Parts: sequence; structure tokens; C-alpha cells
Amino acid sequence: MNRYRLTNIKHLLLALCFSATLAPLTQAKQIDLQVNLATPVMEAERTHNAFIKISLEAFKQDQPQKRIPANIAIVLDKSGSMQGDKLYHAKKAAIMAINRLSPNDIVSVVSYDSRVNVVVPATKASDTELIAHSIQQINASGNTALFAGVSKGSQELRKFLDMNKVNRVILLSDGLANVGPSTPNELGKLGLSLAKEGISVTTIGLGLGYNEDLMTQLAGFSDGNHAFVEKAEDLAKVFQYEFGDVLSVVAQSVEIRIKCKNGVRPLRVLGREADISGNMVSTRMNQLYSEQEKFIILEVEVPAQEDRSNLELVDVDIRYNDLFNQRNEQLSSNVVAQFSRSQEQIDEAVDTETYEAAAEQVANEFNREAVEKRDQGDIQGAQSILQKSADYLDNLGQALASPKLIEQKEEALKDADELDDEQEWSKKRKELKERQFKRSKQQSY
Amino acid sequence: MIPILILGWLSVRLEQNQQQLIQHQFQALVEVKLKSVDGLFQGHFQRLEAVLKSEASELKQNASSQALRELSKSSPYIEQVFILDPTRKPIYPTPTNATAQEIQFLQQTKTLLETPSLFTHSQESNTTIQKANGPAQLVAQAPYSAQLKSVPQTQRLTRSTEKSINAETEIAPLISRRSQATSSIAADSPIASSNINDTQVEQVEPTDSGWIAWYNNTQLQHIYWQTTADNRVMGFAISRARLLSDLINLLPDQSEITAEHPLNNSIITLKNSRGEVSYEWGNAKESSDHLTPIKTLNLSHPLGSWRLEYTTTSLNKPQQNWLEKLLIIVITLSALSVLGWLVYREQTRESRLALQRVNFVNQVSHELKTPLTNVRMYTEMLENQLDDEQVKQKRYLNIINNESKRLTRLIDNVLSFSKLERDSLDLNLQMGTVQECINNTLEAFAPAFAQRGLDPKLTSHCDTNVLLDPHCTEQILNNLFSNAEKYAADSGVLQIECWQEGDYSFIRIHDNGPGIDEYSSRSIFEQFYRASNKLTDGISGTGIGLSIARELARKHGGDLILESTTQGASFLLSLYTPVSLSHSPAKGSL
Repeated sequence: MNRYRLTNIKHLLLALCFSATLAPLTQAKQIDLQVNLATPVMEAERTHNAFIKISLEAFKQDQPQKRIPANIAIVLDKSGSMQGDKLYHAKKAAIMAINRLSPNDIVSVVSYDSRVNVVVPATKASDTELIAHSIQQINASGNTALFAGVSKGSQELRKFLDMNKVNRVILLSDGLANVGPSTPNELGKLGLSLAKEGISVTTIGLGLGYNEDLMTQLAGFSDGNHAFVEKAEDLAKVFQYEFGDVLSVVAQSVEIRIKCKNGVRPLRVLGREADISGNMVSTRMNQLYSEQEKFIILEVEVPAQEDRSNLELVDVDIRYNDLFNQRNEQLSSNVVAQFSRSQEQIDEAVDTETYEAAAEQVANEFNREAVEKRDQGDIQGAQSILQKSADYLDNLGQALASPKLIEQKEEALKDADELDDEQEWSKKRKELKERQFKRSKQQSY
Repeated sequence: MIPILILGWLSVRLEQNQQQLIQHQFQALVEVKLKSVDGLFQGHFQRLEAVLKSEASELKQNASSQALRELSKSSPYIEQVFILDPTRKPIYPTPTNATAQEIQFLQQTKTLLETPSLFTHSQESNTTIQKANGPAQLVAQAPYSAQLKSVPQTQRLTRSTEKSINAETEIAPLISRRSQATSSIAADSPIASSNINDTQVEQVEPTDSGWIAWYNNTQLQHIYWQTTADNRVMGFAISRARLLSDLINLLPDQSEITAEHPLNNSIITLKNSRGEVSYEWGNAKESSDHLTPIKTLNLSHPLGSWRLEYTTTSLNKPQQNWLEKLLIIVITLSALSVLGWLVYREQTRESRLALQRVNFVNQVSHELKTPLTNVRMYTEMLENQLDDEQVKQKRYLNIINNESKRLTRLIDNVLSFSKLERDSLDLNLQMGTVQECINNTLEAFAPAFAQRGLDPKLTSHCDTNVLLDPHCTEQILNNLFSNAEKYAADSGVLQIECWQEGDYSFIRIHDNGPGIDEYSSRSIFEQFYRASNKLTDGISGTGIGLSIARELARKHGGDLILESTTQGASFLLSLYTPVSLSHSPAKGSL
């Protein structure tokens, strides 16, 4: 523990020195970059698998009244299945959310069934009454041209596309896409392409009829949020959360580049999509929200080292677009591991918080695998994976004395228990997918 | 009725012809419309090409794998970049040092990248096509791999430029969206926007380039490639989802299709190589899968296996036209029939009025007949009881008797007329002479003739006993004499000749009156016809006399005709009067 603090202080000193030389620039930095090892001290003369947590957190805004203008396209499913209560609540939720916007924000509304209708073309959110009136005119009928709906929604965003705005498509759907591309892969590809332009897609699945894989892929690749809303009455709440998120974005286009050094080999990135090529790992986040921590967990293989030696494991390099100051910023950091023969020293140095976060992601991966197994019809296989996950969480929870992990263990056991309920599976799967998504992306709601 | 039918048939034919014409024009219009969409897509590929060209030109000098990876990460259109060396061996990405995505890409495009002839375009188009076709067949055999089409690029480019110019003028509502798309692409690379119109200039560069359309898992994918100055090939695999999304954004959404839109009652669907609907727009209520398309257009390269389908709910697309035409036909028909009805009514009004009059008189006559019989009976009884010296009283009674007879004749006439109308008149045949009938009638008319200055002269050769209906014969004669009395007053001699030939008796009545002009002579036998001239004015009559006389004569197996004479009028009456019963044919035919 002491050691850990010491390294931390070292970093802080380093950062201070750095900031002293570049004072005018660093003053305005909005983002705090932390690179931590779950096990800062490792056993010598042995190879290890180690978890590195790279976390980014935006500081609280000094001027709370000031915020980044938003450019939002609400894409509403108005297929036949939305008829009645669902569409009523969806319209209400959308109107309520739009009322939160200020005249500087841009909003557009697209509805789709078999065909697509641009209900409100991209416009300033000043005449909210007119917008609300247009939304009220939407009637449900027809099929689900989800792909085209998202396409037209993003096209509306492009009219005012600005890297200094928060560009977001909010998609609400209750059904399977059945006109146009309909596979999770295709929608994921679209999401990926939109992300490159700085557009995120938040997907809200309503009821039990939608394709959660498609919705999570679309949101995942474009780094938006995802929510499963079982009852239409809860839509208003989710829209409020979502708009809260959108209105608190402080940085965008976050590029994360990790270089593994000294023979350290990257194994996998937990939770997020990342490119691993040789010793280089790169990934991106579309945005960072105020006072929200986002992180990635990188698992690396560390070669055996001598006792009492130090090894620099990775260099982390972050680039992002600071929306408040409207300029590109850069941050970098590294992490050093120590090696020792003393088990006591090793145990003492463990960074509980980082380890917890890593374990959570590992369990999340187990959960993913379990759902995959369950999809193949292998309920027992899925249950045994979850059991493995629970054992892992239990061991670690005991060792770290972490109530959080013990709680997650209980959750895994409960999941395993509920896997074979055929009738509830559709709902359970949506819940699991949503939870996995939220864990891996550290979604705020 | 027939003219109306002919008119109806003609109008239906006209309508059919017109509809065929409209359908023809409509088909042509639809084709233009679909082609303009194709043009829009071609325009997109050109813009994409310009963007990729500029990306490529920026890369040429320092094509490190890091920069290449960076490009596929930052460009929303590009999924993967690859480089082939001058010997067409892949130098980027290589299986060593590749990301998972790159390795997947290499696996998918293995056959493609190992076919170097795909990445050459010699200037002679013929050889190019052959070269390109060879490997296309080769790879088409392998499932899930590439099928390739190549068209000489120079040729294709000029063609599509023309099209996009057309498209701009033809699809007005699309333009706003389109220019938007242009600017969004242009925003990614400022060079691109200026390059769009300069494609010809870029063509001058010695580099070769082209589009490859290939299939991965039956889905159409695209690769744009170009050769660099040092004869390497730089290729860009296009993000399929993004390409479709961009193409969809070129097409109109429902808010742009109002009721007045030329796409009335129709749907256009964009279908991919699997025949699945990628996008549809239009304002028909029905879904497109219930209807068969009336026009299908295969898109041009590189979207070769995609097609546009035009579906409409009704062939004659503007439905109001049908209603309008139907309305016009109905109005014309009803106007015509109203006109016809009016003319018909005008024509029959007079006879209807007369018929009503006769009907009334007929009923009245029936009522009159009984009292008249009594009057005549008691007159005769009184006459018989008078002494011979009561001459004055006898003369008065005689007049009463004669006038009663005249009245009876009139009433009989009216009754016969209505009987003839109902075809219920039966002859009452008995033995007698024609001369007797003539004499009876003449006797009855004697006072009237004397008064009107007519001098009847009978030349009779018909005193043979024959079979006849005396009552009917007398009634015919009554009518003829009554006419003479009315219209030939003060004309002196009234010639009456009578003779018999075989089974027929003939009576000719010839007066020296003013006669009947040729025009009137055609219709004097028609019911209720009264020759209208100075002569007839002021003379009362029912207009049924001659008509009844002829009908009765025909009933009696003969006829009544008007003979042409130099002076006056001459009627010839013929009657079938067999000498004995044995000669007579069946009674009904008389």
C-alpha cells in the first residue's frame, strides 16, 4: 500500500514538474489520466498476467452554467408494434427531453416504419412547441426500416456537424429491423463509420421484441449509451438520463494509444473494442462526460524479472478534443512495476480499486461467454461458466476483502440460476446484454 | 339506343388508346426517374473516388503501415487499406504484425488480392474487358468469394457525368439533400470539393484506377484501387454499411413526398444483390411486397447486382383522371338522353293529348249510347202514332231521328276506334248487297248533303248478294261522306261508283272539292292527323275518321286508298266480299 502511494506521489511530482514547465497549457486541462496496475509489485523470476487500468475522468466544470451545445437526432420507431401506449410515452419522453435543450442546441426528429420520414429537419431547439406539435403527429404503422432511420437521422446531424458539438443519434426501437440491413454486424459497421465522424448512437430498446445484439453493437461501436426499457412509462426517465449525459460532455474524439515496452506483450483489452498490433494497442472513446470515470482494462503478459528490479510496462498516450477550449489536447503517462520475492510486500502493494475494476470486467467477459453458450442451447455450459465466474469473484473478493466483488458473485450465481427459465430468457438476455454493455462502457445510468 | 352504344364503344376505345399512350409515356417517365436515381448513385461514386484520390495522394510519399492504419481508422468511408507491390504481392497488411480485423480482411480477400489482372486497366478497352472477365469467371466458381466486373473507367466516367447533370435538372426535390451530401463528403477533405468537376484533369495522370465489386457472403462489397507512380497498387475497401447509408441519404424520405409529388400512388424500392429491400420510398398506402413492379432497372457498375423497382397501385397513375372521364361520359350520356326524351315527348304530346281526349270521349260515348237509343226508339214510336196530316210534326220528328242517327254514328266511330286500338273488333258477317249499304248511308246523309250543296250521284253495279258486315261498311262510308260533307261543301256533284270484281267489291267516292295536297296526302290516314290549311280551319273534327275507315276496310279484307285525280279528292274503297259462305276463308283472317 505504502509503495503504491509512493509511486503515486512520484507521478504527482512528475506531473507537477511537467506542469510547471508548461504552466499556461496545463492549466486548462479538463481530463485526469490515471494509469494503475492491479498488482504493482509482482513476484520475481516468473512471468505474470497483469491488469493495467487506464482511466480518464473529466474534472467538474468551473462554470456550471456553461455547457457544450448539442446536436441531437431523435430517431423514433413508429412501426405497427409501437401502437398505443408505447408510442404515446415515446412521444412524451422525446418532447420532455427536447424541452430541456437551449436555443443554441440543434435537434431533429426522424420517424421510420417501412419508410423513413424526417419529421423535424435539423433546426435550432428554440421553437420547441412547433417541434412538439410535429412529434405529436406521428402515427404508428408498418415495418421496421431501422438502418434507413439511423442513416437519415445521422444525415440530419451532418447538416450541423461540428467537432465542437455533441453529435448524437438517439434511437428508440421496440422491434426487429426487417427492412434493409438487419444484422448486428451491419449496424455495428454503420456505428463504427459514424463514430469516425464524431457521431455517437444511443440505443434504447423498448419492450421484449427488439434485437439486443443489434442495439448494443450499434451503440458499442459508436460509443453511445444503451438502455433496456421494459415498460414504456420508464422512457421519460431514460430520456432524461440520456440528455443529462449528452449535456455533460466535456471532451470528444479520445484516442488512446498504448505502447508495451521491455518485452511486455498485450493480451487483450477487456470490455472495449481495441486494435492490438504487435506491441501497440489502440482504441478510442467518442466522448468523456463531466465527473464520470471511463476506463479500459488491459491485460498484459509481463516477462520474468529479477528480484528488486523495476520495469516500465507501458507508455500511454491520449489525444482528445477539449470542447470547452476547442482545441486538441494530449496527455501521457506510464506505469512501472516492481518485482520482489517477498509475498508480504506483494500482497501489501495490491491496488484494490484497480483490481476490483479489472475483476469486474473479467466477470463481465465470463458473462458474455455464458450468454453465447446459452445462445447455442448449452444451458449447462453457460451455467458452468457463470459458476467459474462466481468462484473467481469469490476468491478475489475474499482476498481483497471487497464487498463489491462478493455482491457481483451473488449476481453471477443468480444469473446462473435464472438461465434455464425459457419463458423469461428473452427478458433476461436483454437485461444481461444491457448490464454487460453498461459495465464495459461505464455508462452512468 | 344504338347511337349511344356506338358512342359508348367509341369512347371506350378512345379511352383505351389514350390509356395505352399514357402507360407508354408513364413507362418512359418511370424509366427516366429510375435512371436519374442511378445517376445520383454514380455521382456518389465519383465524389467518393475524388475523396479517396486525395487521401491516396496524401499518402503516397510516406506510406508507413502506421499511417495506413491511421487512415482506415479515421475515414468513415474506408474499412481497410491495402497496398500491393509492383509484382502485385501484398505488402500491407501482412499477416505478421496485423490486427484481428486486418487478418480477417486478408482471409476474405485472399482470392481477390491474388488476381493481379484485376488491378490493371490498359488503355485499350477490349483487352481490359477480356482480362477482367477471365478471373471473374474463375472466382465466381468459388463460394463466398469474389465475382468481378470491370468496365473501362474512362468510358464509364464520361457517361456518368452526363447522367449526374441530367439528374440535377430532373429531380428537383432531391437537390437540397444531394448538395448536402456533397458538402459533407467535401468537408472531410477540402481538396475533394474542388476535384469533383476536375475528374477529367485527374484522368490525365498516368495512374490507373477502378472499382471492383465483389461478393462476400453474397453481399456486394466495393474496392477502389489505383496505381501509384512507382507502380504499386493502393486499394481501399469501402465500408459497406456506410456506402448504403450514404446512398439512402441521397434518396428522398417521406416528408419530401407530398400528394402532388410525381410519385403518386407508387413506391420505389432499392433492392440489394440478395433481392432484399434496402430502402423504399413513395406514397402508396400498400406495402411494396403485395404488388408486382411495373418497371425494374438494374443499376450500373459498380452496383451491378442491385436494382430499383417501381411499383404502383394503379396503372393509370392519376386516379382522378378516371373519375373525370367517367363523369364526362355520364354527363354526356344523360344530356343526350334528356335531349332525346324531350324530342320524343314533343313528338308524342299531340297524339297523347288526342288519345286522352278519345279515351274520355270513349267513356262518355258509352254513357251516351243508352239514352240515345231510347231517344231514337221513342221518336220512331211517336212517328208511327202520328196521323198523316200532321206533316209538320212528322218533319220535326224526322229531323230528331236523323240527328240521333248522326249522333249514334259519331259514337260508334269513337267506339270502333278504341276497339281497333285494343284489337277487339269482330266482324259480324251476313248476306246483303253493297248497294243497300250505300243507299242506307246516302239516305242518312241526304239532308246534310242537301244543306251543304252536294249532289250525290250513284252509279251502282253491285247489287249481288254477298257476305259482308253491313254495319262496318256503312261506318266506312259514313266517315267518307262525312269528310266530303265537311271539306267539299258546295262542290256540286259527288260521284259514287260501285262495282264488283270476283270476291271483291269496290266503291269510289269522288268529290269536286279543293282536294288534298301531296304533302298532306301522305299522312291523312294517320291517327289524329288533320290537314292544316285554310280549308280545315274552323271545321271541327276528331282526326280519327280516315284512320278508322282504313283500319275497318283492312279488317274487312280490303283497303282504302286515296287516288290521284286532277280535281277534288277520290277515295277508292275495296272490300272482301265473297259471294257465298263457302268462298269465305276463315273468319279470323277477314
